[in-house]
Amino acid sequence: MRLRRFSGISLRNLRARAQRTLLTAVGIVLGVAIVFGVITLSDTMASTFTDLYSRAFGAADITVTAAGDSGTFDDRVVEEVRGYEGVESAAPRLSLPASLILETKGDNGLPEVQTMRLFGVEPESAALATGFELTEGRFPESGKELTLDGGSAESIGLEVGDKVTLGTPRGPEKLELVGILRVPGGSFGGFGFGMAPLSYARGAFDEPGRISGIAVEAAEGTPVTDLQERLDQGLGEGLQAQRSETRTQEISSQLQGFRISLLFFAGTALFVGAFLVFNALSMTILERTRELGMLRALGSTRAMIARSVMTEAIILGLIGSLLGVLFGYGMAKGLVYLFGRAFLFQITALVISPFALVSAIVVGVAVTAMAALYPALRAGRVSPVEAMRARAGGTGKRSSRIWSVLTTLFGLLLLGVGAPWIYYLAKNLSADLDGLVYASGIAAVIGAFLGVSLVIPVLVRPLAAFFSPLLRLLFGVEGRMAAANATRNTGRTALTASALMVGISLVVAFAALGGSVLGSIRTYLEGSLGSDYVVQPASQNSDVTFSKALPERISRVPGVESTTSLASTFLRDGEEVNLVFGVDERYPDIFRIDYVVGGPETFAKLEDGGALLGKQLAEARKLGVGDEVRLPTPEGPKRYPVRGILENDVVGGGAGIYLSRETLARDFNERKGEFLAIKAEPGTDRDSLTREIRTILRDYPQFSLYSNAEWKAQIEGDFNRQYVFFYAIMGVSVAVSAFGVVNTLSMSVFERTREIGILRAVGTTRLQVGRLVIDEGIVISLIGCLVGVAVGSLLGYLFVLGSGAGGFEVDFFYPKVPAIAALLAGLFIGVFAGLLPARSAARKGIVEAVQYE
Amino acid sequence: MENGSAIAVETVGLSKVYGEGSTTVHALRDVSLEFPDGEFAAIMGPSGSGKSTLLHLLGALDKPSSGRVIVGGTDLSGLSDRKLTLLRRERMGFVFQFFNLIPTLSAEENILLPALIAGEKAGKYAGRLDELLDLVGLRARRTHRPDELSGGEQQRVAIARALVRNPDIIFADEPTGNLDSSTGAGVLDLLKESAGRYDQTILMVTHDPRAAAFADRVVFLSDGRVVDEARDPDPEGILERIKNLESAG
Ligand SMILES: Nc1ncnc2c1ncn2[C@@H]1O[C@H](COP(=O)(O)OP(=O)(O)OP(=O)(O)O)[C@@H](O)[C@H]1O
Ligand SMILES: [Mg+2]
Repeated sequence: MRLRRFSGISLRNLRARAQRTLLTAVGIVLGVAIVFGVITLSDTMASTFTDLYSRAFGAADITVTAAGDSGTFDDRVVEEVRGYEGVESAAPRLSLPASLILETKGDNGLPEVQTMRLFGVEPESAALATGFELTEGRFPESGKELTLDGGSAESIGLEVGDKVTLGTPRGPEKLELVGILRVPGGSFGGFGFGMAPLSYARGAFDEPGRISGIAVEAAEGTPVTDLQERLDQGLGEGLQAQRSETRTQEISSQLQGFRISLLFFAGTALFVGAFLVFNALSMTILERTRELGMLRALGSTRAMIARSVMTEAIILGLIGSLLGVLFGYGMAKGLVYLFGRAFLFQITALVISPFALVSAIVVGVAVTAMAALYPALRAGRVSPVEAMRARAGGTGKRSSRIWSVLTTLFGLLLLGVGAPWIYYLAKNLSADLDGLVYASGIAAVIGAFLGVSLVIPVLVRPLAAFFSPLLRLLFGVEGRMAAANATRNTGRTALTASALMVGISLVVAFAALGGSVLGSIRTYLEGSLGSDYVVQPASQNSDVTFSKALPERISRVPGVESTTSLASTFLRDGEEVNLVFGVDERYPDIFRIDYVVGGPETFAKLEDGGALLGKQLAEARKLGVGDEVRLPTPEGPKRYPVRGILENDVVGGGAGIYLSRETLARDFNERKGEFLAIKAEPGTDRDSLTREIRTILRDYPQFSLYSNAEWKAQIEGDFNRQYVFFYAIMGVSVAVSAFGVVNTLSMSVFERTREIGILRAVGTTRLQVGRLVIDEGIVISLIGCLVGVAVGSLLGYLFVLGSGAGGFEVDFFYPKVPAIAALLAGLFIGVFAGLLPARSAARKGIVEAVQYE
Repeated sequence: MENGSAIAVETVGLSKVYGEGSTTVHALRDVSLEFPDGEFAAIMGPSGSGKSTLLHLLGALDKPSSGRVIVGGTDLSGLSDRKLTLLRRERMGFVFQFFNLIPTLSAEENILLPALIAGEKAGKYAGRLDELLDLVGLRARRTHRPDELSGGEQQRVAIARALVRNPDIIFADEPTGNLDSSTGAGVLDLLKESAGRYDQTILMVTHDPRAAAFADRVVFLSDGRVVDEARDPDPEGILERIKNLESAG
């Protein structure tokens, strides 16, 4: 088709440089795909969780719970609530962690366990107590009856009328399945929801007279808000009444943080994609200098030239974004799957919002256009005189010294502002960080990356010189020549390396954080855990608890020196979050504890109602022995005198508040244990000991016995599974930057066509020419990876610093393995990216190359 | 163009200095020249004498360090880049030594390019395109890409491109530099014929006395200065003068 318009040249250019266009588009495609995937993942999660949450806990107008939203309260409150004017009906429920014991056996020969949440409900108000709808059968009415979610029933193979085994703190019990519930989001692999009669649940889970929530329906004509306020005021400090909508909104706002972090990681891929576009367009323009000069000589205005480059970019961005969204659908599926694997929560139904679709495309095009802006303006500035010059710009104008000093200084400035700001944020991170602070943190990280990118150009020469002997050793003369080649266009090498640096540094930083957390846990376990075994839920996503009977039986086993178990509750008091543990006097026998104030005897003295505090918490709240710590109980706030301060708060990570088990049971109604540590008598036969304990655990199949080594392995396994999820997201940006290396190399081959011809003419073999290209790739990607490792280590250190905000104190462990892996990846990416360009260099005919003008 | 004696391009005290400090190059020094309408002028001189520089300034491709260029009565000194661009677009045509065809466009698209740049419809130029293709003898090659054309053919496309919108002045920097002598002669014949037919002024830089012999007038530059002139030259006369210049320099 004949060209009709000047603007048609853009499309011609894209087509003529199809390979380059494709390579450039890959960055956009992957970037948009991962952004789309992440938005879809978080949309899916938000919609599933809020839907689930609103069904499980908040289908009614108003929900009454204990203040701080955890713990149980007396069921007399139900009658009190029913007495309020404007209350149509009130349905009590008791929410419990539970598990189903399956007929099938796992790898270890023990029965498989499915984690579930069980709601004890009254038969007459079961429909209101939770929002789950019946699809089959009926709600539980009396005795040992269970109504179970359809997904679980199906995966286990249960039908109404079947018997099913429920793991309870008093042992496994058989219940009859009387109904099937519909749960939004399809089936959550490995997580179930069920309902049983309140009276039965209380008995089996040792919660006499207790409930954990009341679903309240307002009478017609009663304003819900008004009723909610009256209830909230009237029920006293220990209880809270919230509109169910409010509760659901809280959940989705809690997911926001997760969403922002994911978007940040996904955004880096797009950011790196933008590098690619910038790089590719800059080079295209250099190549076309004479052509552009000619167009200017023939009367194209600057604006026309700039516009045509922008048109090229926008077409590229559009194509890339559209492909990206298509690709992103698969990406979203993969992410949801990985997420499910990482957090043991499989979601089957993807939620694709028009917002995700539109925003991914808009962002893709916008990022491309932004990246094209500078190259486009530069294209417009090409002088018409260029058309008359014998040769085009060649390696391009070396940017002036002043300019490079300025950009380096600016880079250092960005680093100088960004890094301390991240450090400051990390140091002063609070558990509830607000959006603005978070955004400024992300801006600081991006600023620091830009800063490093601006500094890299001055590092290219020294680093290439540094690698030169290594390459010479590995590849002979070509290696050294390649190192020199990489410095011929430091700007381009730097840009390509920078893109790689961003991805690599994020991976290293994340690995540093993960490794440090794991390492710290390991240190804690090794240094502070004096027990030989622990009893933990058999399934990792479970938070089932046990009653007194289990530790009692285990401590009677011959060879057991002592056991200790913990109970805990999590109390929110306005902005304050309290991690409260109930411990017994044997706690210091099993956990090795150092004391700021007090000693092992203080644990025995907790029975009088005192408290021990972790050091970080005591410092943060300026509490010492003689002061009192205030906690919200269902009966209103209570004060507990501080008896001692723990230097190393093993369980609470520095932020724990320790009460006696009795106090926790009395004031918070938390009487069940959740962590059981066992110390064996020295010289005991371990095999027979484990056998005996396992025999006891047959009555509690929801729990497993772990030796310390097994437990550590388990924790590490959980951790690594979760990390795979994040690595997958970050891997995309590394992949994009690897394509950047391919792009740069193919341009460098193209540019040096004549030179390659001359080399060939004087007797360089094809293989040598190919190696030259690959070596250049290695130099570029090693520079990127080396700087990436350096920046990543630093960033990782800052992450570790910031992670202390959760209460658990993390020591920095240098990520040696990931750092080495990153450098090897640099080699690998260099070789891999060099393959195609090397082939095209080796294949150039000598005559054609020498004649090339 | 109302009357044959009007001035197409004129320079007054034109100078161009490149670089600064120790690397300063005076490419042109105080050059004042007039090129009447319809004249075919050749610019000659040793390498580095400032020929290309002069052509760039005359063609509004670059700005002088001092002095003025007046094109068709318009002083270029005060004009913005945009005005200069429009001036090139409307009144000038360029033939480059290295053809400078756009590799992604066919021969006819390359010829039409100035019209497209000016925002005109390609259809309006259908007749003109055929006329030019006949003139340069490339009717059969119209849909070929530059890499499918020989050097001489490419340069003929470039000439057709320079002519397509009937510019008043055609600038050519060594248009035959990359062609063999008979092809070069053909190209120059073409230029001359077209200029005669459309009453165009041609300013051509060349090293080749035989090429310069096609011109009505030859201007000799040396070290940035106009040092000689010849009217209706023949190749031998030009060679003679060049020898004289060299022995004088
Ligand atoms: N962009 C530039 N920067 C610095 N000096 C330049 C530049 N362009 C040209 N010069 C210098 O100006 C002088 C004149 O250059 P010009 O290109 O006009 O010569 P020329 O007569 O066209 O030579 P040739 O016959 O070799 O093409 C030369 O000394 C050249 O080195
Ligand atoms: Mg020249």
